Amino acid sequence: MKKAFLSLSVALVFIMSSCKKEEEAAPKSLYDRLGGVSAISAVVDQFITNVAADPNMVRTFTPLLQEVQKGNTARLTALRNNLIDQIGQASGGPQKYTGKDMVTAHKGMKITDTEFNSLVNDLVMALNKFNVPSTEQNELLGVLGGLKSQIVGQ
Amino acid sequence: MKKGLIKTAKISLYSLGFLFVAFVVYANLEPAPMHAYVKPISMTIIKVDGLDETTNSEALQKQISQQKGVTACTVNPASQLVSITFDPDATNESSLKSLVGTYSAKKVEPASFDGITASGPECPVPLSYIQAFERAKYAFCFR
Repeated sequence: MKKAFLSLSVALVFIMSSCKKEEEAAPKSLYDRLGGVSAISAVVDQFITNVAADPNMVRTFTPLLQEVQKGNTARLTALRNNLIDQIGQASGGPQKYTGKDMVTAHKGMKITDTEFNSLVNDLVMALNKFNVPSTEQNELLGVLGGLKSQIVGQ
Repeated sequence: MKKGLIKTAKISLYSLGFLFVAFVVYANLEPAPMHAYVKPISMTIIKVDGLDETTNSEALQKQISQQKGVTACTVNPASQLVSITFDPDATNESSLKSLVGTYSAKKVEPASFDGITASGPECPVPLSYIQAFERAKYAFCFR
């Protein structure tokens, strides 16, 4: 009798402990919500083609485009790699951006507000093409938009 | 003389082995960056004479984007340019140029960006050398 009562008590303890509420899953990072590295690289590729065909960006991107037309893709590769790393890091991804800081990278280019806004527009078009939700878009643009003062007018 | 040659060969071998081990340790100090996990791309920019607002740019863009090897495409009537990023192992520039000409039914030619030159100091080491070194580094990164 005592043994049966003890067994029943142990069984009840196990049953009650398994009924506890599941821990709430940690909220996903912007990086995960965007879709990880493959999604980010697809957005970056679309962004690069938008910029290359944008008449407002001809002045600043001509040296890179000249080299691309000659068959030298080293600068294009460097730009793409840096963009992937930077967006990945800015969205909470696991890797780090190891390129130049924005001031150094844009020094002497005298980027104007018009050119910067045009660039942002190209990024928004790329995000829209992949149906990135507006919440994630605003989060990403908020992070990258904070770099404006480091890019414009340098 | 023979002993000297053997000694030189041994020293060279040990030095190379040490350098290789040091390179592998250096390659594994940090995990590979995100861009090491995506395939490299090439890009081509094509000028399409007569590309204007009446052209169905979206349809043309969709047709080119669906081609094998194309990772992204933009058709911009304002600049009359079609820019395409692609996997160089899956397709090439001349095939894409033919496709654009076929789909747009207009004269196409490579876009020219002459007249503007870059200014300012440049890195003395060619960028392609640095990128080749990085690729070798990622190849030996086991993290």
